[in-house]
Amino acid sequence: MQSRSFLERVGHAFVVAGAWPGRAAAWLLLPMVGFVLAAIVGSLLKVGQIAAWQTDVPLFGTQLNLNGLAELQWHLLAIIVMLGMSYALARDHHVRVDLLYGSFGARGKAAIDLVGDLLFLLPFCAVIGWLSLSFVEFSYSTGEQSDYGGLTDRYLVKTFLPIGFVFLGIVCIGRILMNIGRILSPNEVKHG
Amino acid sequence: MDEYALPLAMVGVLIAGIFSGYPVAFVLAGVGILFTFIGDVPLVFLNTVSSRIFTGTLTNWLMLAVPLFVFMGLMLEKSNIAKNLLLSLERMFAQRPGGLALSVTIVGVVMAASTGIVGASVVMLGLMALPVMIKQNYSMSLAAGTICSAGTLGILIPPSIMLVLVGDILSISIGALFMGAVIPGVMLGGLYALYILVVTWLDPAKAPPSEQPGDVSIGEMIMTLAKHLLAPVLLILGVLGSIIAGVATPTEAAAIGALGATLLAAAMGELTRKNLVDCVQETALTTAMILTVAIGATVFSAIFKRVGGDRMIEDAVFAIASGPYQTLFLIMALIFVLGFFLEWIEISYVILPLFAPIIAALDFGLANSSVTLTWFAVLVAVNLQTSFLTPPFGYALFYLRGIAPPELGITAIYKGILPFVLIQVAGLFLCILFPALVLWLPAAVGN
Amino acid sequence: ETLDVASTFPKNMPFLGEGAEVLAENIAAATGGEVELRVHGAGDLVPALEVLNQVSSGAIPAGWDFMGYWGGTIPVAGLAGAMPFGPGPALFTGWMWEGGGMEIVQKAYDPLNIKMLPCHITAPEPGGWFNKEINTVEDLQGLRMRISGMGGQVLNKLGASTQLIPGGELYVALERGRIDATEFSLPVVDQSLGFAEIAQYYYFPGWHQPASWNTLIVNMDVWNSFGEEVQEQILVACKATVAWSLAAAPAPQGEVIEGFREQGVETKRFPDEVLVALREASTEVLEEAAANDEIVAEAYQSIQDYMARAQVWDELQQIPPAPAAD
Ligand code: NA
Ligand code: NA
Repeated sequence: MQSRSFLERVGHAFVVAGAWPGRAAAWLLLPMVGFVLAAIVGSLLKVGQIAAWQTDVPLFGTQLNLNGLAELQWHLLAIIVMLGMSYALARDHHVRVDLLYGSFGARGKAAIDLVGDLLFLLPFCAVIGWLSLSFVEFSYSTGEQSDYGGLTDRYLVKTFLPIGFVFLGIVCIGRILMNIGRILSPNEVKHG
Repeated sequence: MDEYALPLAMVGVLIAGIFSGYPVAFVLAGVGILFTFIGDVPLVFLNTVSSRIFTGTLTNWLMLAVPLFVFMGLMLEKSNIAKNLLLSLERMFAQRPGGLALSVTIVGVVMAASTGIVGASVVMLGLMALPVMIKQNYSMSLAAGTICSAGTLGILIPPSIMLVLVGDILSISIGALFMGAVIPGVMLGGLYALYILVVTWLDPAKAPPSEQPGDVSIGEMIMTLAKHLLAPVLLILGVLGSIIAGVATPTEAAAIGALGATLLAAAMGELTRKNLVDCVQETALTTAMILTVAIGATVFSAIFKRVGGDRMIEDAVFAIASGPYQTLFLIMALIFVLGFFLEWIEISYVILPLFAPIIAALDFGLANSSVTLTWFAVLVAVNLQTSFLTPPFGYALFYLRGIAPPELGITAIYKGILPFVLIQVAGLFLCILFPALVLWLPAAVGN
Repeated sequence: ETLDVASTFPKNMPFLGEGAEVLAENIAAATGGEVELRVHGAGDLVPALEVLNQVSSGAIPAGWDFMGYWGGTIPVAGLAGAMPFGPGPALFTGWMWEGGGMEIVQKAYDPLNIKMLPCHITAPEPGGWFNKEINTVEDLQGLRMRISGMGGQVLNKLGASTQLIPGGELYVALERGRIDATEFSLPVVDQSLGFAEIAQYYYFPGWHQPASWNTLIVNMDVWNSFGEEVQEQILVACKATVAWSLAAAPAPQGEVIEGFREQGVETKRFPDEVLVALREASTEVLEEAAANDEIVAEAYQSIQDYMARAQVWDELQQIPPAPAAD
């Protein structure tokens, strides 16, 4: 183990903190598959309404039908993706064109990532994250719901837009700290 | 020229950013945000971007198929089913060089006819074939090119979401479009196969045959073949069959595939805790990776259009075009070039409404304007399929990079894809020169 | 001044997309070129179903829509956009422009900071493309149909399994039998989607949408920035477009339907017994909606009163249809 600078350790903590929700959200994949399969079965059985009850439940209202089941599927996809963005960033899983990048040294790579994070990623998180709040607010204040008699409370899933950008921003800040640490560190360190 | 300064600068910064090696998704998004400020676009306009991210990407049904097929592919890989299938298929093609590459192309055509999801096809073919190809010392470029090209056929060969969208924008019969794309799609698959045959004949070292002993008895070979083929064939039949039987939509069929692959893995005793964790985590990472690129492209193109990118494109075509074929050629060249940087959905929305009325009014010696548009739409679709393959921004390349081992760099992928892009262009020219390739089948079925 | 208009329809879509272009011409003419509309097809500026949201936020100044699309956000839009067993084109136009409809509906748009201009009315839509015969109410049980809005809720009441299939997969879903039926729009619009190639029956009447409103929605700040005179001119242009939509729709449909018949599609009518059941279920759905929302309740009452008054006149004027010419 190479010893890490203080900056790098703080940065790493940010990266880990921003990544865990995506890691956890990955498991939503299994219910998602289940809901798609349930929708196929429901359609085969020609079911309309699956269940109905008396009290108002958030997201579902007082019933679940086949359309609600279909909407649940992309609700889960949206959560997996919005949280997964930061998870993938933490794992350096986003696509790069490594034509030139591949030949840079560790410090050169750190510099590219530092400039990119500051110039491209951080403004993106800040601006779109901030503006998406009003997007959620509109959905909340109008009580937006399915036009197909599916799910209610559309704002719940839309909330994952700003949430996703917050975690993406946290990982981004962590990366910035780590890369500054790497560039400042006296000896060239190989990073996986 | 001044009015085009902003869109041109945007493209310039985009290219520089992408080649710096910084993640493509965030270069796209960042350039969009940057030029919102540089171009003095009111910040409130960016609200449309939240909308686009949400509706265009996250709630998009077609995207739902991405994690499902990725999961299915990973499951097949972890349980060794995929590897056995490819090995068996290769044996079917005897011990000749390039046998595996040919198998990939054929499996690609079959998958294309079952789904329209490029990501899924590329990821599945990649997961199945790439490890075997690497083990057999295939040329990395040839391996990458074969997988990417075969994997993109799905967007052209029906059922195809691209044809649906193009037909919708142009208001022409989607049924006729489906029929029209069959021959060009299969023809391209044939051209890929032909290329592989020629290349491996000229240079067998590029695609060495399997090292499996060739002297096993026929009976033994049939037995292993049957054993290895049975599971995957059942799975493909399940996916394809559920669509054909009307049990599931193409997207839903992906879930049947995911379930089937999991059950097969369990039957093979490979559904371990570790395999399941790996599959779930890798699926989430790959899905997020792919959709983040889509999100970035959404941000970029919204601002690109807002600062006059669409007008720049329109003006460029009108400034040069004169005769019908010249106009068609220009539009095709334009789509081809845009395909380097933009996503097919964006290109469709920008280009088609602009030029459809012009194309419909031109005389190519076809029966009527609706026939002309059908032909044009298929040409566009072939052209857009190429955009999946052209660097720097080609989805197929990213999908493959996402699942490939580190030794397969994006540079090797770019190199490998080049001949296949040329084949695409040749195929496009054939469809322009011989409209019957597109129009014969719709007419034959229509009667 | 050029106003960017985000349409919820493809730019070249017959009648529905066309309507926005006609409105653009009329507004340019009425305002002497002072206000010009630049219409963007669906998905060009924002995804179709986000138009309302972004006109409200001011990200885009105006939109062109089917009002019913906003039923999930503005309940009264679901009712006033198209009411099951509600008024036909002429009556609906009367209610909206002269019967107080516009004022009631606008109340729901005010909090969103949007001016709503009903400029285009669509003739009754067909009942849908079916691959299953509907002979009795029981045939609706388990019917897998793609149908949006209030019509879907009505069918659900009668045991149908209404399905949310995205537009892009509709063709394949119907062709392969994943769904038994789907509705979309007027024949001239449906023609372009190729349903005639894959459906056996084309059912009538379109009980779920006897008439439907397409509107120009304008961000209220933008609307207020126009002087009173220009606002009046735009309203006149809007009315002229309503007239165009009333005139342009009916004639071409017959020819298109003849074309469908030549392709082997059988046109059928829902049996009266089925229509009676559908009407009862519709009343239930409408009453539930009215109980949940004040503005819906007001609009529902207002439309019913208007229809009742008109019915006296209509019944007196009833002429039996001409004998069929076959
Ligand atoms: Na396909
Ligand atoms: Na490309």
